[in-house]
Amino acid sequence: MKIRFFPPPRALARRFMIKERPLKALIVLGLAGLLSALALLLVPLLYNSADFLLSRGAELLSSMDWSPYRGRFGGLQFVLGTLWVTFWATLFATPLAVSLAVFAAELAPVKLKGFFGGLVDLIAAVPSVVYGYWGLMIFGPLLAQNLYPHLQSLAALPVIGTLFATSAVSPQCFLTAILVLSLMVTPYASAIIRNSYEMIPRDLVEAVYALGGTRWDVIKMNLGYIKSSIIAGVVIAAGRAMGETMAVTMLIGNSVAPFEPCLLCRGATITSLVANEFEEAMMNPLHVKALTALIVILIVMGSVLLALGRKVGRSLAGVETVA
Amino acid sequence: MRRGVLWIGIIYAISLSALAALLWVLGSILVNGLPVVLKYGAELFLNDIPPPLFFFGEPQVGLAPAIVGTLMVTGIAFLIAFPLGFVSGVVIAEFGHTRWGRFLEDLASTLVEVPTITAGVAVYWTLVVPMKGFSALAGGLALSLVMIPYVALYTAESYRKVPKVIKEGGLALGLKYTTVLFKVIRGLVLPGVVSGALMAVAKGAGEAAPLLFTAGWSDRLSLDPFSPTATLSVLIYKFGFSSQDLWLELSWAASFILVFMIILPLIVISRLLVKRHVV
Repeated sequence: MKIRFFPPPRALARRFMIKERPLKALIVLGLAGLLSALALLLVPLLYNSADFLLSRGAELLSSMDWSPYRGRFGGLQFVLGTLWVTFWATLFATPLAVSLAVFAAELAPVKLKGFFGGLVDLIAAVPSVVYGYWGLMIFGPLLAQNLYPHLQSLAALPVIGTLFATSAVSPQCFLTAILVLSLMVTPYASAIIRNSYEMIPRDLVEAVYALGGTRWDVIKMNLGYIKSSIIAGVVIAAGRAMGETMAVTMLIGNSVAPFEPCLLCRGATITSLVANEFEEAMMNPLHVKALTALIVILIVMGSVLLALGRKVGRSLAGVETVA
Repeated sequence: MRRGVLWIGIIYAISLSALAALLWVLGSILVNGLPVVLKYGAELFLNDIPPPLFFFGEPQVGLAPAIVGTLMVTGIAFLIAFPLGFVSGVVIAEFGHTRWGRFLEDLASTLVEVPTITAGVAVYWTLVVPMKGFSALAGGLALSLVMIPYVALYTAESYRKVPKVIKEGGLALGLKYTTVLFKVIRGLVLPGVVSGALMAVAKGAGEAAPLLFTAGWSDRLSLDPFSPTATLSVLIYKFGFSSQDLWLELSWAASFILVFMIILPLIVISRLLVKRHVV
């Protein structure tokens, strides 16, 4: 009688796993689910904006003259507005996110840690449109009465003066949108930073304390240790800020005038323009295609941002493992 | 003074002011929205949305079309998003080591980042233009595009938490892999999956951008998925810009209903489920 040994694992796998039809079906179904979502998002956008992008894409990205009724589709100010809002919102959100992460992971009393984490998550759970309405009714008017007149008087200063140069103070302007936005995108960055903050090896922290370091030394060391996650979180927050629609539309003032690097001016972003004009644009085929083309440009901008963020994060991570 | 006390103080100040801002937002919804809800009481949940100007007698004040619309659109979105997202999530968790699994995970975490208004414009072209009109169905499809990656990521997270030993035990008994995934560890993953699904619904219920040009608008109550419908989030946006006090009040009431009666309960239930799961 011949003794048969167990087949090697790979043969086992071939025998049991791949023959199992439902499992293959499961993988195919899983792929189909997300790929169909991706296709449903991208195909109609590309299909319906391709001819516009090819024929008038140059105009869309070079001119700042937007008057759809006269057939002029210069959308550069919306691209710049999007970048402007994203830049400032990210700038304000970064210290917020790092502080909240350090606070929830390190400083909060042990029993309240979960509670504070939950509160931070709650910031992300409030709908964008509710932030917009709050900014419109309460926050914006408050700023316009108490803060913006003082900022406006800074317009005489040489370099930063242009940021505050405006003829009329309005509760709806870039700065209102930026401030509300920076609060809204904070939890996305904070969650990522906090997650890796909590995974820092305990030995390192104890080593710092053993060397006579203070709590602040520990925090400094930890933040240096997780640099790549901080970058990753900031990029995620920037991506959210770039695509945020409702709050921005309600707070930015929706002006299609050429872009100026100014914080107290009214303006528009790609998303706010689309939310604001799409419904009336449905009557004018060219107009609606121009808006669709702008959405495609927004997706490209977001992808570039994410790719850059991943690259920077990875190179920093490489430095960390070497050090 | 010890080094860094100042910096730690700054961290405290920034964190607490961010949380104060959150409480300010929630508080102003409560202060402005709750009185309106109490003033109109059950009427608010039964009547149609009032027209802009009233020439004939007392206006009937209500939000019923928007409340029903939000529930219907979110429900349709959930019916589309859950099966697709769930299966993708299982594949992400179970085959994360393979090429396709990693690809799916990257895809899901990229789709989460896509601006939600994109879904609105895309579905406008695929459904609204061919059907020649807004519909709750189009709104649901747009919202499902937003929800699918969330369902997938939450499902994957809950499947990953199951100890490998349990799965291996099932496989060692000669059970099929799918039997192990969907029957043996069902009790272990169910709370996590349900909680993730509730979080996805809470995310979807508050979205307005995908619904603006898909679900459209309607003053009247309708249960027909092929006709346009109002939703709470779109109502907040539309009425928020008006100059009529009644409409502004209704926007506050809609914010209150959306945040305190739909989203917060969903989040609380979802948290409780996971907590019980852990213990």
